Amino acid sequence: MSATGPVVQIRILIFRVADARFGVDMVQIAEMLDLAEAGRRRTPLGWFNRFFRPDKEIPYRSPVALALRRSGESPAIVVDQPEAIDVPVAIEAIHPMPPLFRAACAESPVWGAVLEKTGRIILLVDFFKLI
Amino acid sequence: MTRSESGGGDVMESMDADRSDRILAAVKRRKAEAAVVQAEEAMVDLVIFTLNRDFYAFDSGDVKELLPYGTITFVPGCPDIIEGVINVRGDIESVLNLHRILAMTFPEPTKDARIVIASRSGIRSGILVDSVVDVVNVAADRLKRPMSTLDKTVREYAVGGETFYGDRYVTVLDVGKIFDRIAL
Repeated sequence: MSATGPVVQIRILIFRVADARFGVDMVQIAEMLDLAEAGRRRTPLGWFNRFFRPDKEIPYRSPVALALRRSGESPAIVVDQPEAIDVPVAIEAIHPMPPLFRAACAESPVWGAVLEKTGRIILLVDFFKLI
Repeated sequence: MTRSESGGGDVMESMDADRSDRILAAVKRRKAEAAVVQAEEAMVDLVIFTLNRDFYAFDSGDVKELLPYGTITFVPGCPDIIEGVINVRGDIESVLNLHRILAMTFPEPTKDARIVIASRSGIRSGILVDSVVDVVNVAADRLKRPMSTLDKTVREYAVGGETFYGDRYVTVLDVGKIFDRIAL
């Protein structure tokens, strides 16, 4: 397979916010920073949950900041409890979101889902749509 | 004299010996066909469920399965009428919050809560209800127009009419209308 061939898999970083588990395509992530380091660099931060539930406080247990691989200044996204990094996911294992979701949640950064062997759902989120 | 009966073609007036038997057979056949048509038109299967202790129903033809209440994955960026998504044997299904669609208060789901997997016109989704009470077969003529006192929001989806289950009113909701509200 050449480097310019069709994408057959993505690699994701899996994290948790509240009880939900999310995956983000690693191509969107430049680096992972602890909050102290982000503070020293004066990196602007955007807390993941506040993008869609600004009125609700969610406690983070072990937050980290994910700096985005993107031109221009954009905040690093603060997520909680990163569980796994660089996890390969085959394209055929990605489920599109259901039709009513796509109709009602056009603004959602969630674009697909992956099922773990346990049956738990990992929602795939596009960080570039968050900001 | 022999004459064909207009339109039927299967009953011939003649002087043959088994004429009356053939007429009787034709009469029975027509009555049986009419009875089947009448039965198909006159009965409807309903899945009766509760929301905030009131009784509602879906046409069972729109209901594919009933699932126990389990983990529903919240999806960020959705209106609150989308409760989340679930894994149904490897498929991701949305779950609608019918309380909120009908502008009702939403109680904490109990062990009796069920997710009704419904389908209409190729669109499929789960619908969260407080409990499923029964599946009944009722005569279509027992479905009455919704009462004028019915809540305006509920009436919008109650195109199926109203009937009784025991001494309880049952409002029949239209799955297609609910899906349209979200999809359109």
